[in-house]
Amino acid sequence: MTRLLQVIGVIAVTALVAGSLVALSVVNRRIQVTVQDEAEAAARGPDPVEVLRADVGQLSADLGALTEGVGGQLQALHDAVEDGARARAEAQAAEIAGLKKQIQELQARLDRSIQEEAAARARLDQVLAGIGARLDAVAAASAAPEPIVDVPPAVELASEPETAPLTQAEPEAAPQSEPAAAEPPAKGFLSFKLPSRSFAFDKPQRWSILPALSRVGFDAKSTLHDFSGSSQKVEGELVANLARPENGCRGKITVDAASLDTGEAARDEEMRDALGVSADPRLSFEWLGFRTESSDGAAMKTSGTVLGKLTIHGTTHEIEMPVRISVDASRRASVEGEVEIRMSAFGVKPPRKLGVLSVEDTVKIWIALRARSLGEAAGAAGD
Amino acid sequence: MLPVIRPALLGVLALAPACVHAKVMAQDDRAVAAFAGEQVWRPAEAADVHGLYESVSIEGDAAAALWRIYYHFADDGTYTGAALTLGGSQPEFQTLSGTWHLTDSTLDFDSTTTARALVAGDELRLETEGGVVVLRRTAIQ
Repeated sequence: MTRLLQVIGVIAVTALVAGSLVALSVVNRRIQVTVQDEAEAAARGPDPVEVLRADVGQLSADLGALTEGVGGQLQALHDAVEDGARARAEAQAAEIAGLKKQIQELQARLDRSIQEEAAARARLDQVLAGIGARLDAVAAASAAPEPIVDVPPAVELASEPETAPLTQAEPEAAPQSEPAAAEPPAKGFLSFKLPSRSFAFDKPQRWSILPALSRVGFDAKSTLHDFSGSSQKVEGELVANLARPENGCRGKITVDAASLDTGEAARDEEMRDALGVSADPRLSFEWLGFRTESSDGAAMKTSGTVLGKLTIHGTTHEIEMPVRISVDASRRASVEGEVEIRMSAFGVKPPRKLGVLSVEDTVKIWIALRARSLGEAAGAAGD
Repeated sequence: MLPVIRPALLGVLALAPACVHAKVMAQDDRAVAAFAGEQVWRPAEAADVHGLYESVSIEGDAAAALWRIYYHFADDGTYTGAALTLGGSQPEFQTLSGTWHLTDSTLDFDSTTTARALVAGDELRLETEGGVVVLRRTAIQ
């Protein structure tokens, strides 16, 4: 037994040694151990793994920054798009509101036109009925030995509306010696029948000053400050062919001197004293001639210089005043102009106080007149 | 004393224009406006229209032959009017009467003529194709 155990022990030891040798041989072929010093490692450069790790870290940081930047840009773009959309929406809303307003105005005009058309139809029916009645009357008059003057009175015609051809066709509509075709058709206004009035800019007309729409005045300079005085108490008449006033015009404008108002009562009082209002209560301008610079018949405008005589404080001097003349849609003439004069030339002593407060001798007088046509001037020059 | 006062006054006067602004009427303001002031017009209602009116301004084509208009609008829907017109050598009055009613600020005369009616204070503004008239309410005296 002991011998057996020894044999087994020997075999085991032998097997262990053999196995160790085999294992050593295998391991020796697969493992290579390299030992180098630090100098050699430095000579071979940085560790690629570390470099790769550093690159990856840098790339990660760059990617983060890029993401943040792109995010900011996108936010800004979003805000800009939002603002633009809001502005466009507001502009479109305003435009839509304007269009709505225009549509409402057009609708209102359309409604009025429809109403006026209906009214015109009704009036036309009335006129036709009147003509029928008149024809009946004429027929009856023809049947009986009665004169035509017994047809229905002109009062009926006066209530008849604007129907140009029919009105002109009626004998009562043109009792004047002039042919009916020479006058424009009568028009209505607020149920009133307006008289037929022809108007030609290039014809001599009588013009009457409208005090309510006219003003004359002056601009003066004083030691203290400049000031103006004006009055609407102006009246007068003018006869002229406003298209060719140089061919002959005449007229006179008068102003109530006491009504000149400078806005200061004390100064007005001094002015009235200086003008001698108690003795010569009126200022006047006599329109004697005209020097035309330009005239536009289509626009009904003329400019030039009025030649006339100005009377202030009982003293008269000839003056020339550049003016602009125009006729508006209401057929009212507007005459505007100004000229400088010396008060002393008219015997008016410029007010002076304490030897230092004074008004300059030269003042600018101006007119802003509006006149209504009273009709063509018979036998006037200039046509 | 005068030699002292006079230079002082001159000094004051030399500086005064800087303190006192000019009161010269602007050239554009010389002409009298046809419609005085900037009225705030609103659409008329029937209650605004009743009463006696006299025209204060007429503009447009109608103004060429129409000098003045008077209207009396009665509560019972009737009206009477007078217009001073100029057609011949002398002005003449036209008078008329009829019925009126107001619908949507449109004043209807006798169902034949209409005008847009606006009011501002005691003024009534009537607008038609032929012109615009501003009437002012007046008292019967």
